[in-house]
Amino acid sequence: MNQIPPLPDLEPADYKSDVTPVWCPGCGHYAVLSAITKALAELHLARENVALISGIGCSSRIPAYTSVYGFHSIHGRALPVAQGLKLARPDLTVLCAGGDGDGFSIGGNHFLHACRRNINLTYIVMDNSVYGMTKGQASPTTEADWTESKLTPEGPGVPPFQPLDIALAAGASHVVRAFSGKVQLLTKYIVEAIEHPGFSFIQVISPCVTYRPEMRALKDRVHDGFAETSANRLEARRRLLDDDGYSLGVLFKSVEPSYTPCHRSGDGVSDLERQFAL
Amino acid sequence: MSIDTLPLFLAHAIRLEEDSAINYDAMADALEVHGKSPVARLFRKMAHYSRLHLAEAEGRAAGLDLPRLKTWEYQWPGDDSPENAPADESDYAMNERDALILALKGEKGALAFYASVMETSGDTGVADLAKEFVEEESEHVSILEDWLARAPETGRFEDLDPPIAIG
Ligand SMILES: Cc1ncc(C[n+]2csc(CCOP(=O)(O)OP(=O)(O)O)c2C)c(N)n1
Ligand code: SF4
Repeated sequence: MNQIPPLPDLEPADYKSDVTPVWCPGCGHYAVLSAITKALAELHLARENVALISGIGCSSRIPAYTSVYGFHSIHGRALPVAQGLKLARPDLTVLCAGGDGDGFSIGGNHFLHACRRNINLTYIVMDNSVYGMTKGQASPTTEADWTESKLTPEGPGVPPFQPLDIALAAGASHVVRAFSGKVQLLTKYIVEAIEHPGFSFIQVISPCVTYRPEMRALKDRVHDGFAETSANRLEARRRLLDDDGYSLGVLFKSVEPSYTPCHRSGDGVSDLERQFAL
Repeated sequence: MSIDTLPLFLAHAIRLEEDSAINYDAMADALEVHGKSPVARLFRKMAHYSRLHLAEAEGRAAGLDLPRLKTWEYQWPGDDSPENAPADESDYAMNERDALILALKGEKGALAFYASVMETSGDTGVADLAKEFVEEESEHVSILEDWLARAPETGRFEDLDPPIAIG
């Protein structure tokens, strides 16, 4: 009988494609790419069983730089695509990635409902508090008094979006904050998020060194404020009351029911075709 | 931190050099994409040296059964693999001098790591090998310091259409 040989162990480099990133030197997104490839190697996942879905933005270019299946979708629409894929192919490990503009601004509504549906996938937001790709406009997580963009010379003037609090309120079952400058920790968080059976959200503070060069200093401000994980949603939300925005760790983790569609057995492609026939 | 067996120490040394080579190559790629080939060449050269040291560490490990550590189980003193030059401090306008300064930080990180193993390991075999690596890394630090002393004080790349925050 023919034996299927075991899969060789893959190294992080095996999960990278031969496309050279066009990100600016120093951009935090490089470290996120590195952590994702390290995490996939730690989990010994076969490349053909992983899909990485993104929206539009510098951060959203990430699928092209990996060798797993990828889809660089539409601005703000990474989550609907990723959820659809996971529902159709529950056997795949589905990762979704993008920026704070992509995920919290144009894609904000999808973010709420993805948290609520709790479909088993990992959503990584590379949060640089700016629209990097379109040359440095304020994003939902930009501070109200940030005056460096010509579009908002007096600052955006509105309080920033609170990704962790909103994820908790909307129902995400695994909520994490990480920093691109701590690649080893980020790798661990991504591994844990992939292993979590539900919607995992990781806000990765990932500096845009070109439009927000002052973000480089964040490496001295981040701290392990969420060193202990809570399984109680209310308690986790309470901990955010005195969060300075730089606490890192797994804030909340709880196994909760995940949305599963009721598939009608026997529906094949021809049945679907019949339903669509006019 | 305490690294008390030769296989554990060599697993660290191998990962340190692997990470360093990958990191230097990524920095070189990023600068090449932005048309900064002379600066990229320096990082490429550093990646080459890291690969030579990797081969040396792998040679020392031949026949030993090395532990398989997860990425976050390595006992590095800081947040990242210690020889990784701080890529987050690079930028598209950097010159060769700036690149040397970053490479020097990477080599000093490796030196500090090996020095701490040498001082803290409870195993004399590990401490002796760490001492050898300390000597090698000290040599690299001196070479880079020498290059830096001789590097011309050229200005940074002049961007005629700078991003808003830098301009
Ligand atoms: C429908 C639509 N609206 C606007 C844009 C322009 N656009 C491209 S990327 C982007 C924002 C990118 O910011 P972010 O998602 O934070 O990613 P970053 O580039 O900072 O990594 C915008 C507004 C677009 N491509 N499509
Ligand atoms: S513009 Fe900012 S986010 Fe985009 S690649 Fe450059 S540093 Fe990264």
